[in-house]
Amino acid sequence: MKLLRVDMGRLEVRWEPVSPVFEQLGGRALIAKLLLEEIPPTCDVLGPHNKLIFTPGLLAGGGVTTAGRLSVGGKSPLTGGVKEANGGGTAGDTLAKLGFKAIVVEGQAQRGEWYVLHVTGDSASLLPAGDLMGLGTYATSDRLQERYGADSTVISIGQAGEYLMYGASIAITGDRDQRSNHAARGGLGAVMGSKGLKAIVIDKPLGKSIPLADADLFRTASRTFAQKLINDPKLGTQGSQHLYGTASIVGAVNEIGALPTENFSRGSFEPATELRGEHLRELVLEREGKVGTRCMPGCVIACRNLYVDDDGKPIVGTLQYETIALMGANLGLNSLDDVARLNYMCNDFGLDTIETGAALGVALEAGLAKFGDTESIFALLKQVGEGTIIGRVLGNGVVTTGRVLGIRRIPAALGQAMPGYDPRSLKGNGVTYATSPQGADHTAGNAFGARKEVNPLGVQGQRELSLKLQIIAAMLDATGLCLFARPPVIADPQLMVDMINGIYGWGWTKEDLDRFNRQVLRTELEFNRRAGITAADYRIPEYMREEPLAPHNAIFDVPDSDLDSVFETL
Amino acid sequence: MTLERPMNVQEVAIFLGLDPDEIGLISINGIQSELDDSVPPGCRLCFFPPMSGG
Repeated sequence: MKLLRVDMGRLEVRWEPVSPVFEQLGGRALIAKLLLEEIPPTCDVLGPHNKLIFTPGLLAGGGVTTAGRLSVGGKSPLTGGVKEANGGGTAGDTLAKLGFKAIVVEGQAQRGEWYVLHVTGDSASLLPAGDLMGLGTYATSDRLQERYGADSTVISIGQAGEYLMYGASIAITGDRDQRSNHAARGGLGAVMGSKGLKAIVIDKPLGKSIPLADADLFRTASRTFAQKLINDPKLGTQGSQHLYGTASIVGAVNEIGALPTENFSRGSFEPATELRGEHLRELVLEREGKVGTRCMPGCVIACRNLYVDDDGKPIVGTLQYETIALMGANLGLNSLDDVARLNYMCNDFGLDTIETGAALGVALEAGLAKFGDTESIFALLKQVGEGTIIGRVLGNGVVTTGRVLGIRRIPAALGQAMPGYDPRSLKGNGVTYATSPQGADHTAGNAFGARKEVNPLGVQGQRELSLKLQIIAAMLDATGLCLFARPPVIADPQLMVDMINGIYGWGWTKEDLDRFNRQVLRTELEFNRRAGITAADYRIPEYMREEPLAPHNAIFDVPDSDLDSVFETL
Repeated sequence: MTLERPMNVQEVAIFLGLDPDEIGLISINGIQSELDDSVPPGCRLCFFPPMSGG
């Protein structure tokens, strides 16, 4: 495999063989190690010493279902620590098939100069991007696909990344209707903007495949893995995830009182029925949109949708739970159409819907508009794309918005907005938010649905549950697998070992895999320690420890001693 | 619905024609519950299919 270094200061690209240090790493694991080895941990996140890394997971390119996610990493503008955000689309598989371990973007272009990186199998070049400036991610990818082919993959930033907003995401194109997938969290779009890189175009890897060390072992394990996903009651063709998408959980999260409502002031939203996955499915089918679509070719879960308006015109290439929570209930909006339109705007500007939904919630609490006032909320979000002062405040995320507007109730941990589970009613997620080196990020260890293990409202057992989930999440993110692929690999880790050995022939055991997963977290924690992040930076905000959350009047009362000892047994 | 005798969650599920093995999450008055929990009078009992957060 090879590593492509892109020096934006010198406008040079160079190929390197993969160093032995990085050889057995991919995705989140590679990002953590590369950041620790190569960047000063205290560097300016938007300066020349930060690096932006694009890397497929270890299982990418071989046709393993759900394993084609692209990991993007760097030092996070929001958390000031290590960040890995991943997204679907065709980039992960494409890079793996072309033999890439990673693309590492270094240095930065002269201020005001912007470039597109065009990558083929054996060449790469930086080209001026002047004509793309000011365009959103949809228009950018359309224009580049017209130029380089409809089957090429485009990774791009929108206006938010150009403005170096800390809430900026990175968009990745996918097959056909799935035009917009986002590596959304942590503000990595701003890092891409700081480099002067508007987009990356990767040619389709025609006739390419990854070499297999043991094809029989690999094929047997990957087929079994796919079949187990299909047979899973959550994920198969009759499972809620497939039928209703990630929005399938709206009703349940609302019922247990953990649905962020009106800037995390309540845990349930009376009109939540209008936001449920069941309603979404009815609407989409009635309007001749699509359900059960995929963000990655070959995914057997197929949890996405093509959300369309009354006239059957596509609004957004999937409407997901987190967006519905943060831009629906959290803003007092009960219309999926409104949430879908806000989602489209975020996708186009290149914004994380979680960070932006939380920032808007704080802005509404500050009185910039009323909760549920659709038109005013649209007007606020529009300003992000226009780059007005208020737009720049919102686009820089929930902490900046709270500080500027004098709001103390800021739902964030380690500088990053909380996703769609209030930690007071789902304390396992609170422990993850308050300890993960990734900051408040549900994909780092989501305790929702952990039935028969731990009472979500209780304190007992949350520490152990979160650690277990964080170790599994590290594995998924390092291999390119979707979060939803958890059940078969938890039940049978040997499957994962066989797939890895089938590709690389490393002779790993289950114990090796476990060590690998834990090492990802250790490396990330070490980076954050060197970056100057302390236990106090990770904490859940004080108001969530004191302000009871209706309907259960729950507070986040997991003691600091539990939080501080989560990784004792790592 | 009215129950003729005190029941636990599993008994109510069967009474409603639900297969307990196909139930994912259960809540009683918004509190996550289990099949062997008793169903108190006047409560709101919810059954959800197997699901995971995302």
